[in-house]
Amino acid sequence: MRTLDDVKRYRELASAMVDFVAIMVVSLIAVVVLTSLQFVADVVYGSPNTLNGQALLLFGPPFPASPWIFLGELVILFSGLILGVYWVDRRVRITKVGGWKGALDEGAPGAIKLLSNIDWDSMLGSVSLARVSYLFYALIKVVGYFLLTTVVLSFVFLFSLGFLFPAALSYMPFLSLVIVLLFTRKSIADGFRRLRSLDSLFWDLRWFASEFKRAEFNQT
Amino acid sequence: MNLRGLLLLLLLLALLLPLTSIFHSAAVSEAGYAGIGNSVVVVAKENYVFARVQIVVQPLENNTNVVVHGGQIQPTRFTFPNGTSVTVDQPTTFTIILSNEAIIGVSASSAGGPGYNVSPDNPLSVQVLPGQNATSSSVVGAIPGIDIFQYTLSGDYELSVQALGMSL
Repeated sequence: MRTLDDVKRYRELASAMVDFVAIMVVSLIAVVVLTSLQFVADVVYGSPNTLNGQALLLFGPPFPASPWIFLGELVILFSGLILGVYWVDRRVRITKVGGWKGALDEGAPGAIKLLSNIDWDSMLGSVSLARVSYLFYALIKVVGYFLLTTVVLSFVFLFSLGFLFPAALSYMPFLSLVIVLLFTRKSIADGFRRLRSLDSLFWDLRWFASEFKRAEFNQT
Repeated sequence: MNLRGLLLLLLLLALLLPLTSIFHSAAVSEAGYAGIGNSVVVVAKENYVFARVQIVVQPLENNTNVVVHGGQIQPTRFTFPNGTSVTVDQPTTFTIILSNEAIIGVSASSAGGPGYNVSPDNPLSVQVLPGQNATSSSVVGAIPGIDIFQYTLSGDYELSVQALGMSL
């Protein structure tokens, strides 16, 4: 019966992935709009030469802008990623499970009724979708953390040792990758385990569904 | 959020992303053009591009590491395409608005020559021709669909040019 809880959580994960992608797309739209507004301001009113130096914006041609605008773009993108990850984790965490406990209190008839009411095809579809969603989600999460760490490390480096060893800036992505892999190694290992368990869960459910249907058929 | 909402958001993003391709930029950095005697700044654009050009001129007369052209310090003069000329005796930024003649570039032209190279993919071009004056490379008004503007500088100076444009 705990498997039913897992399936419910994975189903929630699959549906939360739509929210995750939507949050990421909204943050991308916000960045594109902010960039375009800055471009228009640059052309119509002139580039902000006097605003604490200049930075180049994400997307499009090399237009100058205040570093605050560039920072704003990064903040929007990474806030989207962090909000998306938080939202998916929250939805999976607060999934209501254990609905089968009441049915089990009724004994064997309750359990059989519970199993008969399950839409096996839909459940197998959800588990299959959850496998793809989980892989996609884990990849985006690691890539996002890697980019975030690279940006933060590059900023810290530029304003500290960067003056002494400017060439070392190119090593920041490599260092970030090492840091992210070190910090997420447990989560990556868990992810592989979960993917394997999703695989075996899928085949177990398939076997159980066919056995259950055969038993039902023989009974009738 | 349902799948239909997500598809609408993706459609909106797909519509907005090409928006950034209507902006164009071209620049000439300061470092390459220090202490040159005579130069022509050539700004060329497709006639459907609205552009803002900033030419920063820094006269070197009071600079200790001045590069002197012709044996003595030359006063810096800036000449506009219409022949108006001004003396530049302090760091000056010339901001020039080049308006668009057409709204949409339906029949975009391509042309290249001394100091310019314009095509639909690269509708805004800025180059500095050192050691020349405007008349030696004058092609103003010669190419239909393309606007070419020449700004002449003489004297000892540092120069940087930035052009930002927008088109539909």
